[in-house]
Amino acid sequence: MPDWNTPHGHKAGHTRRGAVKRLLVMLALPVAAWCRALLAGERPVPAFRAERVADALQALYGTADIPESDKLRIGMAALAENGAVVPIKVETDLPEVSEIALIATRNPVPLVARFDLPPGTRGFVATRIKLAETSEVLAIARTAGGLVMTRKAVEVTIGGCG
Amino acid sequence: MTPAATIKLRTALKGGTATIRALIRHPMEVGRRSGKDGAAVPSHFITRVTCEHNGKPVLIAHWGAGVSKDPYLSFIFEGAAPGDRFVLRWEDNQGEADSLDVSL
Repeated sequence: MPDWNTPHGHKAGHTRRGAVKRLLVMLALPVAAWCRALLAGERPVPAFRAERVADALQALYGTADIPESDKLRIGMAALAENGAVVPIKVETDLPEVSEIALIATRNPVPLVARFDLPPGTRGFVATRIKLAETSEVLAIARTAGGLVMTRKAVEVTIGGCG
Repeated sequence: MTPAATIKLRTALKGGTATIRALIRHPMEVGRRSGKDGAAVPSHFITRVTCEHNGKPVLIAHWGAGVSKDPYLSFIFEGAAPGDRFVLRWEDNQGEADSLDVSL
């Protein structure tokens, strides 16, 4: 709402500060929508280039400091007979899971996959991954309550050169 | 339905919940130097899998070469009914792609 009483501004009823505020508000909504679209559909290219776990987390989420939660569960054998094909599932009952990422801590490229889940899709994914060597697998979920992580150690007898 | 060359889908529908199990034939090659002459094997892996239910996305998977050869994928979504359309499509880093279209 223009301020009709202000003595400043070359246009009647407009302050420069008010105009800047309105501009920021006008920009914020489409930027937020774009960020949402970006998160939902675009490939996280820098994260797939990261060679260290902390760099992958930073690229994915802007932080490497993610709280661990036992409400996010990894189903995977503790001993992988064949590191080239390691079945893994990740599941949670936490509400509104929009992303699940998988990181193999000792693979040359730690980020293995990111699953983008629209509303209506459950917090569950299963796949098979390569593990280069005995290591941990991290799963990170983006939920309505924020980011959560869990980890599981796995012993690999024959490395799968991930 | 035209069978896809590389995609096998199993779908289970129970009370509005659809469980999808997919097996995709693909080398998921990491890319490395190997062979007696040291020739490079270029990387060749699926980068993206998109699944749609009645035209609406229900999963987008971004993959690196760390997903196993002949990748398996399973996930679950709600709001499905018999006869609904489900499509899985993959694309890889060499410009190849395939898709499969089924009725739940």
